[in-house]
Amino acid sequence: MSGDTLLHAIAAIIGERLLVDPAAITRETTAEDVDGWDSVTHTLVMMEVERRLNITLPVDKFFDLENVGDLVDLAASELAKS
Amino acid sequence: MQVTGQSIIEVLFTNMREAPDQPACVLLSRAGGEVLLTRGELWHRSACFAGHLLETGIRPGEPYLIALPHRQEMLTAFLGAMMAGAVPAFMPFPTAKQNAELFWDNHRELFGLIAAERFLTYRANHRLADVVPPGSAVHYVEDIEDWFTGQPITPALPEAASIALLQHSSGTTGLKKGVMLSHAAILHQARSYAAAIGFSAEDVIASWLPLYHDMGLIACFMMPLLAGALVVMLDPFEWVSGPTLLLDGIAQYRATFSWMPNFAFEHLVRASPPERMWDLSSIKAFVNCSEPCKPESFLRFRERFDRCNLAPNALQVSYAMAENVFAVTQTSMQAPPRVLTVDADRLEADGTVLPGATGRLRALLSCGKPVAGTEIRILDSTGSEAAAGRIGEIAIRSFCLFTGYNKLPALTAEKLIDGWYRTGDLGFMENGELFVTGRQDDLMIVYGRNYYAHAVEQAASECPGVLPGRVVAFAVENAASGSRDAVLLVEGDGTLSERDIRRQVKTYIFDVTGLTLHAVDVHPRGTLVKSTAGKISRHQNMALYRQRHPAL
Repeated sequence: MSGDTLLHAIAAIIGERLLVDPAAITRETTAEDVDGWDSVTHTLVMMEVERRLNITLPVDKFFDLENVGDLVDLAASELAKS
Repeated sequence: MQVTGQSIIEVLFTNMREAPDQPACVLLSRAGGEVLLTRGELWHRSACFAGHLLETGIRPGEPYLIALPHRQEMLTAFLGAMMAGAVPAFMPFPTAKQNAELFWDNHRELFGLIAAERFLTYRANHRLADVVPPGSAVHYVEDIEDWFTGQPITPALPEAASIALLQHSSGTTGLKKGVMLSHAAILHQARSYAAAIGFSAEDVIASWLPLYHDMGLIACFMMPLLAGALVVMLDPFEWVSGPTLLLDGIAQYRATFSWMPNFAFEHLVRASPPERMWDLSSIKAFVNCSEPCKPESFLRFRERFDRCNLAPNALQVSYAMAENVFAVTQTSMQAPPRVLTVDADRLEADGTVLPGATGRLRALLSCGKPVAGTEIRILDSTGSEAAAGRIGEIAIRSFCLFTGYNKLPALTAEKLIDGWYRTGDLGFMENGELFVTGRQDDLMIVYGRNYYAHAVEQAASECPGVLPGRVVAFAVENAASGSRDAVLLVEGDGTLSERDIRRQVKTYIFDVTGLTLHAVDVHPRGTLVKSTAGKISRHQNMALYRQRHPAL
């Protein structure tokens, strides 16, 4: 899966979970930019990313991500392992 | 439940002597770690700690503030401080994402006010040491592991009326109110609440709640300890990112009780993969407490977990607060809580409670009847008994009432009048049961934690790019989360972009309070609505916000 495709897939999940326009989500988007992105909804986003991509993200990295780009990179590295 | 004794120390000693090998606490961690403490080990480690603490010169009644993450020392240091005659208090601490310097800097005034001289924390939280009063000692748990072993003391038995602990969950920023609770009040609560729910030494509690919160501290630590029951504890931070860990713990230990705020019911539903199953047949009650309880959250929880053998009466409600140690009311364990459907327009317009069948309706979940020894009055704006069928301020009187707010006599006098505690909550009684409808002041309850809107506004005014005083905070319902969203509207001063203001304000509020604002809307100078008195109107700006977001 290319980086752009992965970003689109993750932006779609964020859009669904947080009720925002996925087109507004970029690699530079941070949680502070999106209404309603808190620790609870973040967990739900991460779980949905795992389910859709059929990967397991390391839980200890859940809250270390600075922006959406970090999440895309983390998902890409887990996809590469699988 | 047999809770025999005049003080917590006496009861713990009796329990320990009766069955020293009986498991008292299990601490679970996501990595699969499990630490079990028997009653005997808990007593021994606490009594050893007490001896070392006394050697530091700690005085009777001196506060001992504990800011520790999920580890066994948080329990034994707390009890040990109590055995040493000090007054322990669990304090919240910053998460890894928070700016620890800002967080603790906000506590400087509190520490000075209560004249705290001794603190216990962990090495990574060293920023705490920067703000403690001069001459104070900060003990780092990593450096004092030997304090929990060696020669235990035989603690003196405290007077029943003496202060056992401080509870600091109320308050948005640093100057949190310290609720002073006596040994007698806590023992009264343990006995009356146990009677209300049929709690005994055979019960097992599963909890992810932090111990600096009254629900975690009393319902999920003190009460089981006093009753001789087992408590299974999860790390609150691990629970947020892995909510089903609670269900794993319940199934593994055949837990019978679990207390949670309303949002946690929704979080468990949303975070549980549909194909996963747990055996929840051991649960007598999941008790919903600490934020407005929603009938629809119970419906969704039941729909998801009925197939996990959830008992028909397993979803219950309690109305509780630190000022009454914990529970004020509790629904009957023999039936599901009542749901009352009322006319929402009349309720909001003039506080009249009318059964509703058509028009805009609001479903209210009963909080149950007062626990033994607790009385409730509903007061109108003059402080007199409210008329039947009208909402009013909930006032309580009980054997469990707090002694006062630590070092805040004026606030104590304002809230504790003729032996009645004025809660600030609004509600009404119907057929002997309490229904809570809202708040009298600007308290916002988000994910079970309390934040005052005016304190959030004050903090936001300090952010770059924001016009000081030109801010307004409020909370709106969020049906999906089962909680409320905190929203902040600010006027920008033109020096920063909207995006930068939003980032700065959200980050700053999170750093100093732990609150994640749902949204920060930036408005041009002079556009937030003022009241006729010239102040920014919370009510009108909230109404406009809701118009702009009709989905809310």
